[in-house]
Amino acid sequence: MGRTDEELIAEYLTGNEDAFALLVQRHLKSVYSFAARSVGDEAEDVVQDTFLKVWKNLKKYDSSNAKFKTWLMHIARNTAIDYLRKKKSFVFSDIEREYGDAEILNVVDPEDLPDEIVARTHDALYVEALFKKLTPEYREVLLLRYMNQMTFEEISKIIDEPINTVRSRHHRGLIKLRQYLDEMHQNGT
Amino acid sequence: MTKKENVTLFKEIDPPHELFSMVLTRVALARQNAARFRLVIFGTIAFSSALMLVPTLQYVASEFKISGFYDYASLFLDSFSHGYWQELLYSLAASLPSIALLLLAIISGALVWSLWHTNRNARIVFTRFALPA
Repeated sequence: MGRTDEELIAEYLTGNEDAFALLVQRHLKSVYSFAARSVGDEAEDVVQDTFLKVWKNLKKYDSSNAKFKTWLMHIARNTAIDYLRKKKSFVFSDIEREYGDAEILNVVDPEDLPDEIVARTHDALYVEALFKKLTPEYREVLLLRYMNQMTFEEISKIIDEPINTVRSRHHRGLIKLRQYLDEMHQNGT
Repeated sequence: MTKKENVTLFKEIDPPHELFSMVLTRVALARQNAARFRLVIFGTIAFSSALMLVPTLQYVASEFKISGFYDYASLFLDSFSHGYWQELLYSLAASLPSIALLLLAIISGALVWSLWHTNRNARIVFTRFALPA
């Protein structure tokens, strides 16, 4: 059984330099995947900045507040947002348009949506293409849920939003994905 | 765990091969830069403490002379045969130049502490970074 993240952190803080490298190796793929789908081309810069911030703040990490991965993804998410803001591609007004969409309010229960989406999309590229059309707030929640396999509680800590907001964005994001799927099939693509 | 919680809509993407070494190199450079800054600070404190040590030692020596400590000390050594060594012990203790000694302790402590940190940070600055195996 390998060492836990908390054990590696404790080892690093007592002088074992290799422990931090092991932490990076363990979580690099998750952070890179999240960054790549959040910011695109600048994913490598986001990843480097994320781990640099992790290293600088490692002494402040408190395992009683959150798991290491939750804390790490919180930093990754904030770093990605900083990059998006610099690119000026992060527009809050998009969210208001999403929330103002009356169709969303008419959907009864989106619980079956993930399976439906998986069933209807034989090609992962379709999901990726549709996913890029979502606004950043929906994208990050769906990424953390269906790529990083995080719970709503963990996502709530990562994005600093109440859990009901997380659930709401999760549902609306899935509903939007399904709408895009419907449009795609109607258009015959 | 329900079936829905295991749904994976997005697969993780393999990072570029060199990203791991880029991350570690970036952290190592930041660590060296921070150590360089601390080396300057602690080096300055060590140098200043060392400079202040000589006049402090001279001050302590002169305070010992003025306080009469040496006289009490020689009386104390003689007093064992006369049986009143306890009274002389109190006088001996009272004659200690406490402020001078406190100053010496602070400067010596600062010197040792700053030398330890200077050595620690110098090792980080001057050690060539190598990726873990």
